[in-house]
Amino acid sequence: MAGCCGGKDAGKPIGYGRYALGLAFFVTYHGAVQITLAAASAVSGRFVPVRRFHKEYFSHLLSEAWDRKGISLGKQAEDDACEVDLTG
Amino acid sequence: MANEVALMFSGGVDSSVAAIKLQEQFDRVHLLTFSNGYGHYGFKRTVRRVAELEERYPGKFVHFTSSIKDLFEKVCLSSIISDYRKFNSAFMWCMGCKLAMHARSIVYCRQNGVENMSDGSASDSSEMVEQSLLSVSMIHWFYADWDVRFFVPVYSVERDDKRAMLKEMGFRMGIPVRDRYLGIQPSCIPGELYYLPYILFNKDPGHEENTVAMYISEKREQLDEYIEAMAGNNALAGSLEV
Repeated sequence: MAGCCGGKDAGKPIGYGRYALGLAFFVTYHGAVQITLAAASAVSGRFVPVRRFHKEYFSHLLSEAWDRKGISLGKQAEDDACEVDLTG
Repeated sequence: MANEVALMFSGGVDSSVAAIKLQEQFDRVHLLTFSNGYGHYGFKRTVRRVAELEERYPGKFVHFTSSIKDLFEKVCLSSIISDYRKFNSAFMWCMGCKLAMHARSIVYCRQNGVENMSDGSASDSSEMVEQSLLSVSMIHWFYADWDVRFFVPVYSVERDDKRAMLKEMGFRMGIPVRDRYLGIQPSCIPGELYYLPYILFNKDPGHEENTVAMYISEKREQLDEYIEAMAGNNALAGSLEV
């Protein structure tokens, strides 16, 4: 894993079912947040940059998830564990 | 100087075990809880955990809550879109929030004469940007520059051991979901969104060490200005009781 450890489960394979359910949950959650932020931005200007940021972030993440970028689908991961070096 | 320590406290497994360990070593533990005002909710859970601790260790804890909304907006939100494009990751929401919390903690420590500060960072949560070894190291030096000793008492303690300890002592454990317990600490919607690809798809959250280090370094000036304005640049302020 490049740079810092991405967590103990990062890169581990997932099944097609989990991917499909995950994608549905992902879109639902982000979609609900996007709608909420649009409403909040209409009431208070302080949410405008948050809404813009979320819109850009959501689009980017969705395209990555759709393209399965960084997602091991039905494959064996090269590493099962990601060690943290506590000695620095 | 009194033998006191402050702890960034949410009431979750890590910070609860940290609080228990710290009360063994210090006469008083200041539990600091912050809200950034953006999708951060459920603080009654923290209050319930504090009550559980006080019941078991009477007189050991002081609970301080504060909003960091203004500082968070200044440090993080004012440049969130440009930072996102620059660093090509959204880690700055969580990192910016945590940096604001740490800056507020430094102010608290200096205003109240507390020389020691800690949090519940843990190596088995290192996918969280603010708990990576690099972030913890940089935060350590941030505190050191303001004459506060920062340490992480449960960094190397296994998650299962921490849970077993809390269960054995009869603390509320919340609802188990995968390897987490829900409902025992405040929730953060943006934080959940950031880690959602990791939780759902095992996808690396995507923050690289060099960009995280650059972000922290870039924000230091704003944070230092805030601390100086709030707490002054003198040595520890002394003994203001809470």
